[in-house]
Amino acid sequence: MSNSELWQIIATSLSVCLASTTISAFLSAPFSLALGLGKGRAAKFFRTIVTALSNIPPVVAGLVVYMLVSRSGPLSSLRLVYTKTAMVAAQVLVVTPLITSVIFPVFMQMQNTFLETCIGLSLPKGKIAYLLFRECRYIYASAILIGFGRAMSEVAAVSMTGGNIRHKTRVLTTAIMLSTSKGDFKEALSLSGVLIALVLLVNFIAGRIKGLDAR
Amino acid sequence: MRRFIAYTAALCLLLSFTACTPKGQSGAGGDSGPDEREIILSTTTSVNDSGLLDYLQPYLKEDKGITLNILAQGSGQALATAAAGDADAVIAHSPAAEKEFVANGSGTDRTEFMHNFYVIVGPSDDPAGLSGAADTADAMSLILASGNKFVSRGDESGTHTKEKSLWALTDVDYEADTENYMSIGKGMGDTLVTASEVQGYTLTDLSTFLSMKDKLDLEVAVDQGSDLKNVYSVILVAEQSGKEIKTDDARDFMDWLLSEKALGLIAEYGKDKYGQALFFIGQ
Repeated sequence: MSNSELWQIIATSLSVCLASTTISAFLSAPFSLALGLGKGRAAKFFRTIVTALSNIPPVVAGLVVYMLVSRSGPLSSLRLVYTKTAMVAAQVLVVTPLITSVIFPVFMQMQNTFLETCIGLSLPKGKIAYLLFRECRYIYASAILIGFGRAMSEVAAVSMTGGNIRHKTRVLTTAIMLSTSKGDFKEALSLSGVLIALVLLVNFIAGRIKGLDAR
Repeated sequence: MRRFIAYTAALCLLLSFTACTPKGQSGAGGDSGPDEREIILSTTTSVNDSGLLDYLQPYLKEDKGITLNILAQGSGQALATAAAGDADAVIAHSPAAEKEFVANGSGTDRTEFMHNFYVIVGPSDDPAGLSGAADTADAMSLILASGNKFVSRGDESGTHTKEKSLWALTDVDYEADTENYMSIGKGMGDTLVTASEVQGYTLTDLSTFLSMKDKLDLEVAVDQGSDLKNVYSVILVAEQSGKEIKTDDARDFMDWLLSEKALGLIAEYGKDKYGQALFFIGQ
């Protein structure tokens, strides 16, 4: 594998995972607020669902998106099959519940103390939401980075929706699968090294950010 | 509850006894069938997807008492697995790679025993006009020249190697056409699904294509032609120090596979289901 191809694969991995994580980060904000502050049976029910979905097998997320965008699927006219967009969509399904399930318990804990105080001060709703997110910004950031790590390391969703097309939708994990199936274990190990280095770096950053909170 | 535990314990005990029974003892009396034996056969996805081995298995079991544990991988990985000593025999269809596998001492007794044909499949309306092509090379160049997509296995499998040899017959710089030449690095089934999905062309062995045809929106565009021949070989994995290779059992399997009975079974395979044989005997 040439160096330029390796860089291309790394760039595809990063761009797909950054896009999916960013979208998931924004999506999980209203979800975690609703789940964390919501009362009653519906909120309880959805909390259980989201917690369960935080472990959604990427292969299932990939299958769902693939079936939607494939030629025989309902969204076939969008021509999204084997594109980065489809890969991002599948990863959003994986990462959003993961980030949400980390954040909403924090809001639940803040309900009795922080929230009561805010209400007591009769602050406007928008201001309260802003303060809630400000209060848990470190754990939010580390949850996002955990989501990014999950996106970087999963293979099934991107393989199914992206199709592992060389120069287009090949990412680190699918490239590792391919090297292995070619019997080229040396190349597979080198690529694994790159992937692990990236994931470790992200986790290291996540750890540092969480550490800031404790200070 | 206590009864449940007692039953479970009894079952575990029973299972542990079965595991301890010395291999081959059951056949010693002579009246109970042949010995129970298992070998690992490393093979290519195309052989496995065709269903041939599942079809042969009961006959092999009856005649020789051998059960095949099948590892289905691309030819490249199939040979690499065998070279690592993780299989006892190999069936592959990548002659150059197989010869190298034997030459470097990883395998012995390579025997070409059956063949079939590759076909080029594509959209049913044949937008590249392959039906009017003079020969295989001409057909291959027409695909990209007419702006149609070609989906490549891209996994160093036998089929991928064959595809590259077909491109070599043309003067097309296919790798430069990153828009239409899609190298996806997956097995035959995935590649056919992708080709159907993007309505492109691909090279496939006929047996895998026929076994999946009803799920695909593809038709055969080019078939026959001596340059599309696909030869399968069986190879024994050479004994290596420190590795437990079941050479004798693998040799028994090979002898059986090359026997008149097995070859006759192979020649009949697929006729009832597809109206044509999927494999032909000989090289």
